[in-house]
Amino acid sequence: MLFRVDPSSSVGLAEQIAATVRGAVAGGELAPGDRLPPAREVASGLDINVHTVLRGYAMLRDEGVIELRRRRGAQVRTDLDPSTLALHQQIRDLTEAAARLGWGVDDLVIAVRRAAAAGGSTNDEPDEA
Amino acid sequence: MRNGNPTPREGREMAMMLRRLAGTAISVVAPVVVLISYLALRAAVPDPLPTHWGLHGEVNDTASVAGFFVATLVISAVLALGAVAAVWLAHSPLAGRMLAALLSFGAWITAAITLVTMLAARGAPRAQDVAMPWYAILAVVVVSILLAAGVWWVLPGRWEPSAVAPATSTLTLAPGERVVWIGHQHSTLARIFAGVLAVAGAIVLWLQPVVSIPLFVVAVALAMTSELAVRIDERGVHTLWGPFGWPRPSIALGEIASARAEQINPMAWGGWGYRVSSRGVAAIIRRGPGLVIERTNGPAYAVTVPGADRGADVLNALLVRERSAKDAAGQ
Repeated sequence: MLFRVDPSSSVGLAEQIAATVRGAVAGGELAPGDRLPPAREVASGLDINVHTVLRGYAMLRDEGVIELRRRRGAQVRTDLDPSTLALHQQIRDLTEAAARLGWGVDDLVIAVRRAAAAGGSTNDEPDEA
Repeated sequence: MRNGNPTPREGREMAMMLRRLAGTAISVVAPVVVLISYLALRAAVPDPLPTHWGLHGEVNDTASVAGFFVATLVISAVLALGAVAAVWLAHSPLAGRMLAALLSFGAWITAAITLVTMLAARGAPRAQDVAMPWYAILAVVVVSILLAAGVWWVLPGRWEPSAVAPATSTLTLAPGERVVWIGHQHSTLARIFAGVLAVAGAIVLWLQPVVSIPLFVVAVALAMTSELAVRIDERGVHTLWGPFGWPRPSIALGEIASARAEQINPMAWGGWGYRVSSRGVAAIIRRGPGLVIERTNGPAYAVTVPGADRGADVLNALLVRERSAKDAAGQ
């Protein structure tokens, strides 16, 4: 599988590694049960520290995306539902986009509630509290 | 060179031609050395000449100077001509290169033996008085190996520049962006065979210890070729063999012209495992998708790996980025 990282980005390298794997699972490139490449190889290919890659893998383990076993390495959890992961990814993108526009989390929650209540999209600006 | 400046392709063709000429020259000098050492030293050496020494340095065989000269000249000339034929007539650069280096080694060891024998015998009244120092024999072997290695090194890895189109990719990589693509493949069948052979070897070890050795060797060889991983990064392509990912031969990015994905038929590349054939070098675990790499100066390299089309795309993107960086630096 392909890992792409940008060292000049404000996003941490470990988070970029985790995002790559999340994207690959959500996009179907990695299926539940598939093994991730050894952290050592990823690190040496990207010319970054192996602990950075392991930190990215640990984030994914904490999120329930992968399992880390001492001998067998990293593996996408067999009980993982890729579509749930895709939804989580969209929520993540949404919160990031909102943050860029200066929306607070509460504003976003209100907007999401309204959208859900209307049963579709809405262009309403959030009320200034 | 129709109108002044040669095109890059003509330049590469010229360089390959010059390298083949250099390989030819190194080989052809060997019989000339025989001829010169005879002409220069024939009057100074005893006739008959010593040609063989025993373990304790005593001369135990001789030959007439003329007979020794004719024999060594014929042997070195035939071997040198063989090397020249390998350079210019071989169908495959890989085989031609190997054969030329081997034959050149033969021609040169013959020439070096002639020269050293004549030099050692110079001024001696009788063949029995000639001593052959051990370092002379060492020098003969080392010089011949170095010259044969020189032939190997100077000969190009391919006879003509590759006609492959420059790499193109659907991916675009930013200048500072880092990428790595890793593909992995194993053959369950080869693993089972390796396991069965290892168990058979262990059983045979009790009955016939000697027979168990080839069984273990084949089991290890099968285990090593039952699994491989391919890593593509900005340094090039690395093939990680076996369960430990070692050995790991690499091809530097600068040596790669382009990459493509192909359905690999093992028989077309010489079989399974690590193969060298007229098509090039191949690392084959199973029939199926594979990455085929065209080198700028060397045989093609094929390696079977799932998702090879993606791998080829990544490699081509790296090549495109490197090329545009070079273009930018050149302007």
